Amino acid sequence: MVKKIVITVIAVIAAVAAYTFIVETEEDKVKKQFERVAELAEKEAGETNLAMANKSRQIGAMVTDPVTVTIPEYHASGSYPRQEITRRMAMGRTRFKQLSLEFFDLSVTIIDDTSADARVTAQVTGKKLNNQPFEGTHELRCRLNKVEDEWLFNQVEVVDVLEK
Amino acid sequence: MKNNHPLKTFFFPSLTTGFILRLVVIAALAVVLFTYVLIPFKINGQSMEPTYQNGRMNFCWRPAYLFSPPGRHDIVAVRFAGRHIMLLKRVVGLEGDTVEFRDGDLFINREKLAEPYVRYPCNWNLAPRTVKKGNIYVVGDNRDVPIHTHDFGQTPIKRVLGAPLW
Repeated sequence: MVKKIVITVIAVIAAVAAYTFIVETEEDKVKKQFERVAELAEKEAGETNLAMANKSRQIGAMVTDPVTVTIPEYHASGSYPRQEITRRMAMGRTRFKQLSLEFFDLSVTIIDDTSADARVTAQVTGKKLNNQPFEGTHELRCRLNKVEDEWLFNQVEVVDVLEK
Repeated sequence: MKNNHPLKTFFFPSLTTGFILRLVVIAALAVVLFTYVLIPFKINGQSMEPTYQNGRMNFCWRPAYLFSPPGRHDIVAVRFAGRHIMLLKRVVGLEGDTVEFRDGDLFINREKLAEPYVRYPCNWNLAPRTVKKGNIYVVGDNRDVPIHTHDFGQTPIKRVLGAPLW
């Protein structure tokens, strides 16, 4: 009896795991884009200019041309061409010695074949050039569009969790 | 030879049907309890000092505001997109209240609020603003920082996940 229960539980777990690994849903593809952004945002001390330019270019390639960015805290909202995003990413990186970006509580809603909404908490940690630690946490609301089988960020909005 | 030493039986129990069932039930209850009812968290930051020290562990008691909304002076956990990262803050203003800082003193509806939990002096100034319907106004206890570096403000009550257990 015990043996049967153990075998059944293992079989169910194996089946679920196999299904999860084999079948990649559109939701998984969107989630992978966030993982990729986190990977590319990472900066280690001593990053070369070439590596910085390469990572910034790759992040730029993950947004639509143009992309809408809204940051209420700074009263900043606008539509930016891809090149501008790449340039600003590179500029932003130069202000930090080390950077790390983590996403938490990512929820994805597939609206239709070509658009998806995502909500996530983004936490940036690192060291400024003067070695002072830096930390920032924000909730993001994103719209992604599927272009040529790839999910690209079309809108990124920083949600005002606390409104002064 | 069968060894029935209690310590050995405790650490290496026989895999009987009853034992497996008990194990599954306890594991399931623990997952539900620590995911939905008592969410463990570690304080990261000085925003609530000296009431809550950086690095301490606590639990977010979810049912705290199941039947009544948060009250003034309550300490609440405010969520971001989910449960993994929360802000621990003190409620100072309720919906309809006017909140204002004058030379470090907090005024609610133009009357100075007694705040014995604020130990470090500050010189904050903030023009009066009204707390919107369905919102609360939260601030940290540690105001010994420039006003622009401290996260505070109004937030919808629905963002309140619960209260710290202690």
